[in-house]
Amino acid sequence: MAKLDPAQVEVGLELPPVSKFITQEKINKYAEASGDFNPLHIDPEFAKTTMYKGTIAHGLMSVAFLSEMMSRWAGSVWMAGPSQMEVTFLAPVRPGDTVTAKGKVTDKSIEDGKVRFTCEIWCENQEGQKVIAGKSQVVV
Amino acid sequence: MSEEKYLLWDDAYVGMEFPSVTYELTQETVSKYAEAVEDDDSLYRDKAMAAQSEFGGLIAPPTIAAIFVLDAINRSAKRAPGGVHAKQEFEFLAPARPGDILTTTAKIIDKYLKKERRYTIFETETRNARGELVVRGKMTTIWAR
Repeated sequence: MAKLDPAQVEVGLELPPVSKFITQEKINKYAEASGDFNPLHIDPEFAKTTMYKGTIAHGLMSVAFLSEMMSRWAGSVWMAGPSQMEVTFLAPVRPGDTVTAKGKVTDKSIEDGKVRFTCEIWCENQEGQKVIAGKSQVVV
Repeated sequence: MSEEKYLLWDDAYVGMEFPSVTYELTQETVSKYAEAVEDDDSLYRDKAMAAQSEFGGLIAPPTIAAIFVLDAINRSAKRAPGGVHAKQEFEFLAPARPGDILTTTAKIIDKYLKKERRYTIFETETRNARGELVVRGKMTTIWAR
């Protein structure tokens, strides 16, 4: 994994995006991995009877996409910590959607000889609608 | 499940603490999770590559915390179905690794009504068997009742 050179990063930099195509099969896999078998996610017949009119992905799948974007950009410091992310769930993600994790650097500060980057992060669907949004911090 | 076993929002209070919940993170779960979210980083699934990394072995994707943190809250603070997960915050302090026994404690740090919706914020702390703090979380949730 390439190491991020903080000297090369300025406020305003856009992070390389990460895109995922969502299928019911992938949602089912996430349900199996997480143990979250809420029928809203995995049972199309039940989900039709809800306000969503169909199955939706676990919101935390999109959180994983944001984390992957951060790790691909910042490198192993993202996993090693201390790092932080906070998000608000805004809209459902459905099978057939393409979700793209995006972000940009909004602050850069020096702390104990290290550089702390703050980023605005969000996931949007194929229509450009934000489905989840928040911010992240990583120390390099 | 009988209805009286659910914790109701009216009975929840700021400072309320819940019994800790222990979770064994297996390589199988790490692999399934990484596959489901399509993250092919070798640190999660390639033992030989991970051994040569700064971590000296396999680790789990940071957001796998979603699994054991939600599991802990849902098991220790049983709420009626139909709630909504509104916000989530994670502070990653050390990587979780396959084979870790992770213990999560949860407490309520805020409770409020907004637009007639019933909110609480749960704060969680997850430690590994060596006592190291792995992840701190804050989950904002809207209660069904």
